[in-house]
Amino acid sequence: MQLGGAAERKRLLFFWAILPVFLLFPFTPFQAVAADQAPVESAPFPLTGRLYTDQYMHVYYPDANTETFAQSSFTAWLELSTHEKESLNIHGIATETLFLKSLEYPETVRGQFNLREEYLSYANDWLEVKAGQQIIPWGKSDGINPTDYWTAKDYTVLNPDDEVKRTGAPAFSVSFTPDNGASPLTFTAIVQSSYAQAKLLIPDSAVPSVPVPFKKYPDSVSLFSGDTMEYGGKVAYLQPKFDFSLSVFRGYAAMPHYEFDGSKIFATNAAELAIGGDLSFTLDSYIIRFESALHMPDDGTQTDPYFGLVEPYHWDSVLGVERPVFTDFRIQIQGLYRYHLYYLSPDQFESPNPMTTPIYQAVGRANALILNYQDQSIFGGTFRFAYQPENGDWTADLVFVGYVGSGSDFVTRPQVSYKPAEGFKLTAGAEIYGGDPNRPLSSNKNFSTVYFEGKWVF
Amino acid sequence: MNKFIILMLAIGSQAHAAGTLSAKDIMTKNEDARKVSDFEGASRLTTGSDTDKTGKTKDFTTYRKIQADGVHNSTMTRFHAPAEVRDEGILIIENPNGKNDVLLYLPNFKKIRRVESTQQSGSFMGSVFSYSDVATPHVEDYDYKELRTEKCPTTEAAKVMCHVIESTPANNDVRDRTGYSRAVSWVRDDNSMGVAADYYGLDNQLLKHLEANQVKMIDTQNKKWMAHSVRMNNFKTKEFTLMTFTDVHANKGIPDSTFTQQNLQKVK
Repeated sequence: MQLGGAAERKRLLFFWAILPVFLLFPFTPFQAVAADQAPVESAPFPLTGRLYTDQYMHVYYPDANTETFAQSSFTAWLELSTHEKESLNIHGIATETLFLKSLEYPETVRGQFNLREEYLSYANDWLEVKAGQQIIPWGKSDGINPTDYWTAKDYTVLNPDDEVKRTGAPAFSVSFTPDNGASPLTFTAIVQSSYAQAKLLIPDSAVPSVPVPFKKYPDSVSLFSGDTMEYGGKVAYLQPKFDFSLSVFRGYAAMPHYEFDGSKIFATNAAELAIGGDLSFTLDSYIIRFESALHMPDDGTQTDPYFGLVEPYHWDSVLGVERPVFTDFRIQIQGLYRYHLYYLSPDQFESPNPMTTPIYQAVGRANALILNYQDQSIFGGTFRFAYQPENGDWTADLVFVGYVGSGSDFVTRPQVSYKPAEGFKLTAGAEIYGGDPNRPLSSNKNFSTVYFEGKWVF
Repeated sequence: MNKFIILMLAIGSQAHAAGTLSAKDIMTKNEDARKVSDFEGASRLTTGSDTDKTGKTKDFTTYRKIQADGVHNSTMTRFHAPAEVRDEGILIIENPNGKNDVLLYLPNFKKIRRVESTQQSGSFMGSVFSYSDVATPHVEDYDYKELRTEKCPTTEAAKVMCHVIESTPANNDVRDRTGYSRAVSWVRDDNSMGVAADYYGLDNQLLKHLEANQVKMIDTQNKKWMAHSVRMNNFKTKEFTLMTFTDVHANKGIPDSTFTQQNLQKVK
């Protein structure tokens, strides 16, 4: 591995100087509690959270400018919750991260504050209402969720836990369960005041090589603006033996795409209508999960002027099976299928002005690459093998995700964790992208990393 | 010769049953003695080993309610500490067919995960107890044989006589769910409460030993009892778990909505 220069050496020196302090700090307040003590009553305003450091290093060095560290960060994650027994509660999660290095700003040391959640909730036996900044993850399948309409992820912030990448948005949600809360039926309605926008890893190969200004990420949207509101609902039937739900969503795709307005290329999020559903049940040793959704983005049919340049109507499905193996191992396999109801290759797009056709086609190719619609039908799969002893200090996890279309690509993540003390966890792993060049996952090859995380939960 | 021995054993068994309660009757009384319509209590799991006597603790609240059939229970646990498991919840719905439904809420993902049947003999939140240990045993799930009567083996009940009952799973579903081939229980003669039990693994080797103490009446009107301190030792892993209950309240009228998936993911 190469060092990127004097500035990086200073940052590395600072990191290695501060790391022992960070690692030792958690042990100071840790005290074992005697078994015969009475359980501790919850404080009325318990402040909890976690402190963690993430060190990600590049695996590949395509040129001399590639720095050793993809990300070097220290994060304080604080949660304030009032709960138990009272109906009216507040809940908030905020993070403050010091980035010594980051993918988005490799040369800048900076702090970043993120209000993940801050909402007021009311709950009784049959009703639950939440108002404020929320993270709303929908879907039963593991990791890849076609019905996960509401919350976006910031993929430029690297973390072993994908849930950390989620970003909240201001929303009002209400859930109602008939029969004073005892019915298996639950109705949920949500209004989100602005759409969440995912920040993707954008490889150099996805940047259209045309002589016009290019803006990588979308502008922030206005809060409480009529044209950025999202609406949706879900009906769920939840039984102990099985459950299923049907959902509908009218809003914006969390993943941005690029558009060309005649003078510049910019990122934006497509308005879309989506309907979907999920189910899960157990069958002896097996847990079965299924999730599917039809996404209908604007301009996604052959009658639209930008058909071929933006993501067309598509049907996404995930079918997964999971089961334990021996005592401490688990295996999970998921099949992925995406079908585009209408399809036009970006290279077939013709602009009314032939001079701009190459620019439009370049934008279309970029969208097809980052949003994974280079083929009308795409098959894929995920494989996960985990060693998870209930009370062991070591755990291990191997995740593999691959797609097969006109080419094939994959990402794999082997990871090992060790818990040296209560609440403290060390994790080391790697995230490797590969496969045929110019495919969505393999285009991220230069984002392949090895990583280390130290985390203390308090 | 063998036929002769079996015949003599059968006659002996019938003679015993004629004079006293049968093994099944004793276990029916045992189930009845601890049957309350519902209870709520603060709970603690302390898990340690031969080399870690202090152990690690997990604090949670237990809610349990008997179902409409008057036999099977629904149990909800909500964890409070340590921080790693805060707000995690486990919902156990017992079923007449011996296959329980277990659902786990993971607040980090804001999602519910199912625990498949064979995994229910696995560890309950890292303790020596399994999910099926935490669910209550029911008379119809087992066949019984009284082995002997003797003084109870625990200090608390040392002056009381105990029935020593062997229980074997009535069907393969119960056997698969519990992971035990049989159990030998010591049941007090005076109040029908169990005070100790040996659990044998599927290989018929002694796997765990349970000891129940601080047996207190939690429903004075109907004379229902509950052990407030239960210790389980695992001979294979050399680990132990002490499960304690405090602030137990019975017959509170816990609503059915407490034992639903909706409530499991509702951290009030």
